[in-house]
Formats: sequence, structure tokens, C-alpha cells
Amino acid sequence: MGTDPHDDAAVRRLLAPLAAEVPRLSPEREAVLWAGVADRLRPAPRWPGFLLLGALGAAAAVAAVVVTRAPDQALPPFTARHAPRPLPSGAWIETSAAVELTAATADLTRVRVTEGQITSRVPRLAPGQRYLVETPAAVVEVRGTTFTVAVEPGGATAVTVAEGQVRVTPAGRDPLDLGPGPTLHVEPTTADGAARAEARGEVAQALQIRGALLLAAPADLARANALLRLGHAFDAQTPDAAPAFWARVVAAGGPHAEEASFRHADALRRAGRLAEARTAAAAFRQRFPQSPRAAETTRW
Amino acid sequence: MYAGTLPLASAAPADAETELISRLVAGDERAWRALHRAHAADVYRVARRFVDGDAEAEEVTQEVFVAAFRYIDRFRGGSRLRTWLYRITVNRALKRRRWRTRRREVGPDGIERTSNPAATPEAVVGDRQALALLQGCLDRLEPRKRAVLVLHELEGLDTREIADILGCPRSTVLTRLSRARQDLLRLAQRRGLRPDEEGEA
Repeated sequence: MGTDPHDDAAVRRLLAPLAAEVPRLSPEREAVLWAGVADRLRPAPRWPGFLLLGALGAAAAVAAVVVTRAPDQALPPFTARHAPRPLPSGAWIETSAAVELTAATADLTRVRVTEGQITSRVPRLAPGQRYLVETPAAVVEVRGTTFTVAVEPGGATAVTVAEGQVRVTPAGRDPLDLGPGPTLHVEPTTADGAARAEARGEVAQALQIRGALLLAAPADLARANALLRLGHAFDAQTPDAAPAFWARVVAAGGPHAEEASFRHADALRRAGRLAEARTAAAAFRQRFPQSPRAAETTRW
Repeated sequence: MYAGTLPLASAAPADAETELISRLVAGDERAWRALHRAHAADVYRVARRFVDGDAEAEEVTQEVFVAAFRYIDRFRGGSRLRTWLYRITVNRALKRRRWRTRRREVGPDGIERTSNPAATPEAVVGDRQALALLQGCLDRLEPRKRAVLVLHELEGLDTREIADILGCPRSTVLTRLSRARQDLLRLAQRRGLRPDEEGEA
């Protein structure tokens, strides 16, 4: 072939056909895209109390939301990444995929989610009004809040409250009131689910009940690992929310503080918050100077 | 009535950009409209270099401006707006690539095959298969190397701006660029693609 691998000109000649294929956005498409962007920008000022969408659900692999819709339900199906849409009750709803409602009147909103993720913004409801999200593993009922329910294939459910409070009733178990903070995981009532609940849901519940992350003592590796898994899910699914999650884990200390500290800086970097990332990286290096990852963070 | 004449193009003076940024931070929708009008095509073009299909590139474009709206108050002014938008674009596009499962026609050794092993890109510039092969070579590069190569060779950005976009030192960009070129040529050779001799085209 006779091509010098260091020949820059050879690369340019090789890529010339691709360079000539310049992707173009027509003015008409630009206008269409802007309409979509504007649609997603405008609701924010009207809902200043609901901006804390950062704490979205964690462990779910976002897929389809499949719910049964009542025949008289007039709401159109939602599609992925659409702006929040209003419901007759005054609530707003945002989903990862198409969704239907089992009930959507002024007094009763009921959504059944078998898989996928749904975020609800519910204003303070009047007496008699109810808002429920049902999953294979739990029923989540709300009285004025912003929260996310994410359902994994198989029914495992993750509930994250951004503000307010929800009451989670795992199938066959007592209800638990959940406020803002770590994600609560509810596993289906199977043997495997029970084991996984021990490793995940219990952590979130314990942390929530105590009102703080109390990983420092005792050094429970299983629980710490569960938190790390949650954090990695944040990294993958909701990178914008990941820095806040890791910051809480770092503050808690515990056996995986080094990992959490690194993840915190990395999450900030990947969220584009570079100045904060450098500060966090410096804190990481100061706290864990022997870490094999210390050198890596100096390049950020 | 806003006429969309804000000086947003790449040659915009710094003070005009500063004024624009303050309007963006204030949530001035006309400023956001102007920003979109001025930069959406650039963002789309860069996104399209990284993702498959026009629809996905359009989705990335929308995500970039929504993210920009959300985080404009964190924009420090250390780089130009276009650079900042490119940074978001590259991050979003690479993230999508990580999530996507790609289907390829590959041989038993994992190498994509062509029915015309002697084809050169210039000779078959109208041949979509050759272009797809070339694109396949790019796709197989390590993402960070690919990003540098695409931004430099296809988008014509200098290495200093690429360093700003990727948030790494310029020396790192130069290293990645060199290695990306070597890797690309090696991949192209294995697929039977070769550049024409200089001046032949």
C-alpha cells in the first residue's frame, strides 16, 4: 500500500470524501428544532418550585412505559423527551416513552407503569384528590410533590423524591413515607427480589429514615457497594444529577469514600462543570494522595 | 420586533458576545432564538459527524440547546460560546454512541468487508458503500481519538480550540490526533481503502 502512517496529507486525502459530505441543516428544520427547544424551555419559569428534577430515578434501564388507558381518556400519548404535559388534576407528567393512564380525572390520577420511567410534578391536591403511580412492585401515592418512578424489566421499582413526600407501599408490606433524598428501591416479592432488596432498598430506607447518609459506621461493605451501584446508575441514566448524589456519598464517608470522591469529580467533569470538577479533583488528590487515580485527575 | 440580527457568528466581537451572554442568562427568549439560529446548523453538523442518522443528530442538537439553557449561568466566558456549545455537542454525541448498539457486517476476524477491496474513496466518491466503509473506519476509533480527528480533519478546528472543547491540554490533543491518524490509516488499509496519490484526483 505504501502509505506512511504518519502522513497527515494521506489522512486528509483519505477523508476527503467524508469532508465533502457536509451535513446541512435547512432553515426549515432549524425552525422546527427551535420549536421543540422552546417548548422545553418555557415551562421552567412557570414552575420555579419544580426545578429540582435532578434527582431522577436511578437504577432503571429506561425503556417503554406501558399503561392501560381508559377509553374516554383524551390525553395524547407522550413520547420520549417531551416536555411535561398537564393532566386534568393539575399535575404535570413527563415520561421516557409512550404512556397511557388508567384514570385521569380532576379527582383521580392513576398511572400503571410496567417498565420505564415517569416523573410527576403534582401541586398540593385538594381534599378528595388522589394521585397514584402503580408498578408491579409497589403503589406510590402522592400529596403534592415532584418525584420519579423508574421500573426495571421484571418490575423492580426505584422511587426518587425531589421535593415533598410520597407514601410507598411495597406489595405485601407496610407503607413507607419517602421524602427528598436517596432513591428507594422496591423489589418484586420474589426470593431473588428479597435478596436484592436487602442489598439496595434497605440501604435507601435506612438512610432516608435517619435523614442522613450514615455509611461511616459500621463499615458495611454490602451497603456501601449498593450505594456505589446506585451512583453508577446515576452516572449512566441521569448524569446531571450524578454530582449531587456523589457529593452526598462523599460527605458520608465510609469504606468507599475514595471511589465516591473520584466519582464526584468525574461526574462534575462529565456534566460540564469543569471548574467545580477541578476543585473536587484537587480535594480528591489531597484526601487520597496515594490513589492510583490521582494522576488521572490532574489532566482534567 | 426582533429581526434576528444579533452578531452571533463566529466573528462576533467579544463585547457583543458578552452582552449576548448576559441576555441569555437573563432568560431573554429572543436572545435564545438568535443563538439557536446562529449556531444550530454548526451544532447539527458536528453532531452528525458523531451519530448515525439525521434524526439522531437533530435530537442531539435539541439536547445541546436545552442543556445550554439550563447551564448558561455556569458559562464562565473562558471560551467562546461556539466552543462551549461544541463541547456540549461532543459530550452528548459521544454519550449516545456509548449507549447505542451497533450492528455491523463483519468477517470472522471482526473486520468489516467490502466487495471492492481495491476501491479508493476518490474513485468511488459517489459510492455510498465506500463512504460507509470510511465511516466505519472512523467509528472503530477510540472515541476520544475519533473526536479529535473529526473536529480537526472534518470540521477544520485548530488544536487549541479542540483542547478547549474537550477540556484537555493541547499536547493531549496533538497526541490523540497523531495516534488517531495512525489508527485510521491502519484500519483503512485492512479494509482495502487507500488515499489517492497526491494530485491524482
